[in-house]
Amino acid sequence: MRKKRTPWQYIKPYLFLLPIYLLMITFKYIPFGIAIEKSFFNWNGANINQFIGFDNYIQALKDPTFMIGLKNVGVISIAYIVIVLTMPLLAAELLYAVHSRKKQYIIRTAFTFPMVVPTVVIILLWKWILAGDNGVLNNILTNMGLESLTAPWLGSTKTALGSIIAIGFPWLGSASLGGLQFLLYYGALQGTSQDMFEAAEIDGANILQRFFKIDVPMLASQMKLTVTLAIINAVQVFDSVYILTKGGPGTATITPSVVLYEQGFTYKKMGYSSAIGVIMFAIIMVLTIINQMMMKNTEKMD
Amino acid sequence: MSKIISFLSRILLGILLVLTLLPFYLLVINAFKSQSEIILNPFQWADSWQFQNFAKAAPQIIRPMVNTLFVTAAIIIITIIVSLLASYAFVRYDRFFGKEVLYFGIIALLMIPGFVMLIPQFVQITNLGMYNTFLGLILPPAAYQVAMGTFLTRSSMESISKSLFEAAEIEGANDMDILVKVVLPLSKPILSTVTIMTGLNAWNNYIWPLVSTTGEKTQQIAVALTKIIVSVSDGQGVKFAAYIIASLPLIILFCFASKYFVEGLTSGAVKG
Repeated sequence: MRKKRTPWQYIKPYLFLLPIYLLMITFKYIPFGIAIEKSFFNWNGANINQFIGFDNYIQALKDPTFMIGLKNVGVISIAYIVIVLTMPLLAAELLYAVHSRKKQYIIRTAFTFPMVVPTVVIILLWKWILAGDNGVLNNILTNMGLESLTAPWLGSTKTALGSIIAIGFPWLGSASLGGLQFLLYYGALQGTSQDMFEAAEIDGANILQRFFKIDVPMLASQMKLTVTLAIINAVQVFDSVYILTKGGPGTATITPSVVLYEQGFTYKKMGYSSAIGVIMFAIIMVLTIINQMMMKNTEKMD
Repeated sequence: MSKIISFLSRILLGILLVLTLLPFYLLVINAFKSQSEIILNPFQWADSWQFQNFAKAAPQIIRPMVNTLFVTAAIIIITIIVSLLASYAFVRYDRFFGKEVLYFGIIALLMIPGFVMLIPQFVQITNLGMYNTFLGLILPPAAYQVAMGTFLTRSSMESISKSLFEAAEIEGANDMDILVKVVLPLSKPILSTVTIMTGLNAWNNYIWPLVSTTGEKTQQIAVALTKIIVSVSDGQGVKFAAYIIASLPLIILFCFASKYFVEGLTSGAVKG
């Protein structure tokens, strides 16, 4: 039946792939290659362009601001990992326990809703909530008679980093942190057969036993994915930090992405900035691989 | 015992729900208030409704919104066309030299964090004369979205029966006919998902417009929202009104396609 292949037939699949490769190579792979190359250069994007070997990397390791940035994203990463393994999971379990389908659907929609609000709007809303003067949180504390606890949350070195992490509390809303994880967990719970839960109930397992013996192994793949996403988001965190504190006060909330941005665009040290990008890339790769190896996939259950 | 647990879990679910929606409730009620009322009690409904807050906010963000709508639409159209073509190559042609390598080359892009390329991309856009142009806002993000789009459309397209392609070919249909008349109608659900994911990413993009544009000509909504200027007498209510207007396009999309939204966001998660 098959027609003889003409040379044209051999070329065709490549023609269909031509647009995507033109786009990707021009706007992603070439810049990626340049980033790696220029990380070994003293480069300002224009006339200064001089090979300096590993100097940028050595400078990064000696740069206190960058090192504090690494420490900060370490803290943010751990916080994000804890968050995505608890709050969205709790919400998914609680919602799954609701009997009425209709109620489940309405509540799921409500939990999903904040994901369609622009990220910047959510960040700016939290700027108001956490503001020192006339902020919502301080207003609540004052009305509860806890005036001593009020603080300029984003403006104090003690509370700034914690405040950045707190954005989106209880973290079911924002698309990058929480909402997605909630949908993943909830979808996995919905996809499992009721028999298993019923069998556990008949065997007399209490809620905690059921949770750790059945639910957690069942959701292992989702947990692995949410942890990977949490790490990627934490290491690259930029929008919230840049909009709310620009890394301050001092270096309290500085992150590698903010250092990269400022070194590259404010000081035009684009070679140094590229080296920071490559280090971020390496960190994400290493952490992702460790996570892939350490965390289990969902066990197959019969 | 189990009744108590069930009761407590209802309460907890209710608290989570309230805490999740509270900021948006505050946003909406305070958008209609004057500054003094906002400061007095952010939880109270407006005494005198300041509808002019919206009229004052609109001029500052309508243009960035139109700009962003244009950029978002362009990225979505490019993503759909380019992803469909690429997926078609993988699904329609069983074997060709380098098939797996070429597919890996697309997926691999999803693993590179965007920040690595930020500086060279900026220099490239400047050298190509695309700084502060719509082309510069559209092409680099589109180059990422097409990889994501191909990843999603290919796996969905694999489920189309091969005999459909062969039948169409015997009828004398060429590749373009097959793509438009067979593949496109069958791919509608996944394309809705791709549209929503791409649209969300484009509307939310902050860092790329921040570095690749300046001034009002091409200003995007995410950047414009951080630069809203209000006079002391107008107060924060005007800002809140602007936030609400800027959220409307996505919320409207959400109302019409909530199902695809949820699917899109979850399938988008695989990009990690």
